[in-house]
Amino acid sequence: MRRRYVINGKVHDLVVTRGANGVFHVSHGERKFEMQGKTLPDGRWRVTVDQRPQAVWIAAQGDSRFVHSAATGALEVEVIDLSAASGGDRAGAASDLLQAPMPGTVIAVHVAAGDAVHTGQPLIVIESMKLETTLTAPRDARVKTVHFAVGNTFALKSTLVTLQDP
Amino acid sequence: MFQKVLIANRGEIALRILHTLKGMGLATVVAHHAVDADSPAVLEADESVELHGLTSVAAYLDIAQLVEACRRSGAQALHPGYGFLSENAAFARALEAAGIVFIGPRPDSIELMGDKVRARSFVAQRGFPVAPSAIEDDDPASFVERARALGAPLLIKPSAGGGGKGMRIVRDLAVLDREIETARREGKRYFGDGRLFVERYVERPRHIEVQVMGDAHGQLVHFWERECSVQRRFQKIIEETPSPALSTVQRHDICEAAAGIARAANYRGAGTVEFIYGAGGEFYFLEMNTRLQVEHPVTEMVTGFDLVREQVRVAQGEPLGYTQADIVQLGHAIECRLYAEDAEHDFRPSTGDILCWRPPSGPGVRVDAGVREGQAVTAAFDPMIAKIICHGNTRAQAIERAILALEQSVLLGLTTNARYITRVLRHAEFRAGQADTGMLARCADELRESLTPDDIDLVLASAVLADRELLRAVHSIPAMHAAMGPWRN
Repeated sequence: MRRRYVINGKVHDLVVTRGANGVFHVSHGERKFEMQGKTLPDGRWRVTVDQRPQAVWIAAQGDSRFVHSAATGALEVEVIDLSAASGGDRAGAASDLLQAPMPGTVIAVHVAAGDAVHTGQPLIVIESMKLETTLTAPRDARVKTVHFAVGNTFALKSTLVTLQDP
Repeated sequence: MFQKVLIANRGEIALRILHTLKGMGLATVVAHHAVDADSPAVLEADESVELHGLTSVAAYLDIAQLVEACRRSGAQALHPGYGFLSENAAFARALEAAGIVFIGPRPDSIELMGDKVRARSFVAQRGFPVAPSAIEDDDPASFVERARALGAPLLIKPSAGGGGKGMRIVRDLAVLDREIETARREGKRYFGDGRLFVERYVERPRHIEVQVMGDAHGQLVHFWERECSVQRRFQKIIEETPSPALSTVQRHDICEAAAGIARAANYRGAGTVEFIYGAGGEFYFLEMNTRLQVEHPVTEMVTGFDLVREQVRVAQGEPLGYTQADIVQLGHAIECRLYAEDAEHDFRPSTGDILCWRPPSGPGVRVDAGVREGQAVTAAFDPMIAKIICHGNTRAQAIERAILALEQSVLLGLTTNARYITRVLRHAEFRAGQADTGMLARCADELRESLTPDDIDLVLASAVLADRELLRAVHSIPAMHAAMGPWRN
């Protein structure tokens, strides 16, 4: 079974197969290791990689896995579904979504649903880390939805404005 | 004497204040916005009052609602914590007018120290050290000449500014005129105000501050210094006491200067006098914060005093009851601020749900946190999640304990700076006590995350164990079956 994970923006492709007695065999590029895991009564996992056991906290939410060990600290691992369609359609849709480059607060909205906008036109002003940023239209389009009002806060990568063809 | 006190804050500081008030046998009320209804401070308080507002921040800044909350709940006093309305003289006056005690300094002290130019001239007039400077407004015609007379290096600052915007360092006086014009244009652009002032720039500056406490009877003491030089984007992330920069004589001088400034202002309550300290041992008054500081726990750990308790006692009109000689520094304490931010991406704030939170513990470890599992961390408030404060017999022991405590701090669901802080604590410059406010920017490359291939494999193995979809798919092929190959069919 093939799986793609992303840690700190770096892609890791794995092939995972099942061995005997709860052991899994993992190929990670040039590296190969054997692993197994067991939950501990306090909610941690004992994760053994190539005979070396370590206590790990693991949590999952959506496509993210969060892992904490003494050696690595806490890290987020994104699970990428390799079977999902990629390419043309998704790229086209992405340019219709104006996403938040960082979490913050909306301090001004310059457009409303239905407005025609042209490339470079200011759409929304956000504040993050005490800095103001004006987000502009990436292309000539029509505003389909403005998702946040002034004073609202949003998370990283939230869609702030959705555009459609003029 | 107070029977009931209202806390007008949230997060870790609301909980920290609550614990002291409870210990003193006082009834507690926490005023809060609906987003914090399930926060630990609200749940532990005897009573809570909901504040309403267009945004959650606006609710915590609503003076009329807070005065009304005190009236309705019958609280005789209000503790503002830090941030929000803690340095707002109008708020202190509104409470006073309603017969409620503001647990903080007198409103006129807040006003005096809140205006940087006024505070600076007050301090200078009383003979305490301020950085040599030239203020354009004093006489615009001679401004450039007065600036030149200070000698290089110089720092040009916009009069209306803050947060580092529009500041320029001039090391060569030949370019002074040009730099002044550039700073003026930037000041106009950022603040709509082109007025400037110039001061002597301190090379390799360190941030050293002194905790003071005065009572209503004219007694004032200091609780020694804290060093807060490890900063990113003008925000402190590691604070410690004693400062490794100071000799015994320098420590005495800077602490006495702070106490002298506070005495001159007839200061009551807890305050912090901040100084900039240069490589040559010179120090200059920067500003005074008229409230409890985020980093007050390091002072508590080395002196044994509970500063919130002292604030409450002084606000009730009690005399301090101790003298300067009773306040000694024992051992060393370091505070690490756990922020929801991504140190690998320019410290950008991180948001998400707290899926797992296991604070560290152990000898000499104190954790001030106000979060719970399941809570969402949003961009609405300051991204500080918790403070991890470690005490040791020596600085080296405090550092060791802080590193271990950070490694044991489990917070899953969003990115924090825990690992980044351990790298700073391990850095040779910090360990040698040589960190100045430019250290994090200067050492950015050395402080970058570095995971070994074994580390990565452990994390990937853990991700596999939490990847139900993958495990289901792998399990759908029986091991023996897969191993034996096609002939078994």
